Amino acid sequence: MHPDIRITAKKFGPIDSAAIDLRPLTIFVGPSNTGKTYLAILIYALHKVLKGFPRFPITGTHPYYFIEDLEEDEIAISDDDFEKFTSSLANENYTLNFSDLPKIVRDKMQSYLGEENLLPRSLKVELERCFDLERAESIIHTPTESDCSVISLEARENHKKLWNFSMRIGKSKILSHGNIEDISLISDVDSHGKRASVMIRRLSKIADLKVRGKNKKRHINYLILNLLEALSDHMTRQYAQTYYLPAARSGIMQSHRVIASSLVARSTRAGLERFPELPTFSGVMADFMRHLILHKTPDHYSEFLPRGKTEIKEMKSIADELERRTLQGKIIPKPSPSMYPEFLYRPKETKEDIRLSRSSSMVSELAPVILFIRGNLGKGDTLIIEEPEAHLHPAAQTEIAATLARLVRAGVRVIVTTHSDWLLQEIGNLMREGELREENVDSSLSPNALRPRDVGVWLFDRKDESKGSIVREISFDRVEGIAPSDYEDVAEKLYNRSADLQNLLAESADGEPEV
Amino acid sequence: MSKTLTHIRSKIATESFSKSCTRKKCSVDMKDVPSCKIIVDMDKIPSAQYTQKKRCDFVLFLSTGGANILVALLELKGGTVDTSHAIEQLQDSAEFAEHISPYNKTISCRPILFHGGKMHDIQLKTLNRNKVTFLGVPLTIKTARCNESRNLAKALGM
Repeated sequence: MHPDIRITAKKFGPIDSAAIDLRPLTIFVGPSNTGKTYLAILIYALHKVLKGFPRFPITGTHPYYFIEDLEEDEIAISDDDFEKFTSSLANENYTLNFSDLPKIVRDKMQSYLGEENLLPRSLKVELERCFDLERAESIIHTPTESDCSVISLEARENHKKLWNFSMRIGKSKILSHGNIEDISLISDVDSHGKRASVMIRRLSKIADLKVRGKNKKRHINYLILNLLEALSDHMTRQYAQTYYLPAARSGIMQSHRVIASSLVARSTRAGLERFPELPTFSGVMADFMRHLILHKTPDHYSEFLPRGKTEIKEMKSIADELERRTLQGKIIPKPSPSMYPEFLYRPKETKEDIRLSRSSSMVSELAPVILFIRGNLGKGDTLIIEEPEAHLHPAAQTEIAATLARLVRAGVRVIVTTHSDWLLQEIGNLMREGELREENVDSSLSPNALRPRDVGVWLFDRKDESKGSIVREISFDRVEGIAPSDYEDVAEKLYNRSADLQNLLAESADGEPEV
Repeated sequence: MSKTLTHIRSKIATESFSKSCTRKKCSVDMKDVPSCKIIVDMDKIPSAQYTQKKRCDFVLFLSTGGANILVALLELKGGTVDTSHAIEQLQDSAEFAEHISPYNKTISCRPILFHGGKMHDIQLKTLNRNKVTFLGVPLTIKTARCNESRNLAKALGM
């Protein structure tokens, strides 16, 4: 369903170089301050701007953006181009490729990815918002004139390139370029493809009308606008939402109502009192709070794409299982007169609702995960979770691995940053189960099995302190599972310190006089 | 060379003395290790002098100041580590070192397992639970990485 996406980042925050393939489950590991969160936020920003890494990178852009110049252009489309376009609409299979579009539309779409245009401008603003920066240029790690951050994206489907986009952020200017390949605009695999074909059939009938003279130009523009609207309608169905659960979510869970109400309280004094400096949230934190405050209010795009009953049932089942197995209770949203919902915890087999501020930190940690799974997530969406293991007992850390696996199997793309060896070990076990399942060794295996090719684990490694970190893939091994080498270093260092102390104690006891 | 080291040296067959510690893919760096030392290549100890069943790779007798002697038992595993086997090798060699060392409180011992890659939790737990006894003192086996700079000095806390 998702195209294969490769993201490359160079000199981006603490990262010197990273090239990662997004898999259904993507895991970032490595020491602190090596850029795991930076890359996760970059993916979030790209996802927001591109509306979920679609097959066609202009998804979500209003058709008028591509038609407005045509309205004014006297030589909008040549007769030959128009003939070619209308004949391509008449094909019996009702397919449509990028190259079938009139040249002026194609050029406009290609330029959308290029310099000073919509996508780079939107991405610059989104990066500033998500990273809470005054200027996107501040993202560059090494502040020399010649250095620049580079962000690149490449989308493929069945090993065939769909489109690419690259942006260089320098100290003085931002350059970008991109290219859309001659791809089929009607996705073969999309279940809504038929609907789009119907639109093309209708367009082909309009194209057949014999219109001449002054009306011809109007007719062409009308046809193209209809085409773009049809495409937009078709591609809207490829929209996907992305949700980011930041590391500080448990604190926000306990305080979002206070923060929201104090913001409103301050806003009433606007104009009477001047604040020398307004503190700001990062975009990911603000979005997270917005989702909490507007809990159960549909997102802009989800209004057009309501989740189906089966989808809702599946997500509810995943959230229910997490509550039952790990939380030992339920998270209950309670509407309030102030409009900011309060979230309460009801322990298993009780009728007592406890405020999150009085429940364990594990509850505050898991509450947003449960709320987002139950209330927001759908097939095709992306969920980014920083440190899903935070505040959890090792047993609970292994259980959260099963939740992540179930989300992946339900069609949600999951990206996590983690420091948890327990979580990685359990994901390794689920991958072993996935191998067995593929080989049909045992049909009684857990439904949470993960196919090894669906999981990508990336180690953020900083060998040279003066440079940024290098990101490389850790491959899965049947014996080793997923084993970041630095975890073993820590374990061995701890062991040797223990051995030193034990030896000193043993020698000290040996020297004591016998009683 | 200290009197104790000279005494120990006199008890070991000369053909088993070595200048370095290397086995296949694993070498031990002598940097920052006291220069006043005896390195015994255990594979070259004549069987008449060694009555134990198993032997580690090297035994070092280091003069650490005054009359103090530190015995370092080194087992080098460049490839797969069989911890149970390594424990037995180090224990048998500890007994050999006991026989040729004068019994006094100025002699201490450190058994060290050098390895080429990863040590799993379970292996570390096995090492922790199986002590090597030297002159009645139960000692915990330390681990070190083959081919790393100062690997022996670091393992000995020098």
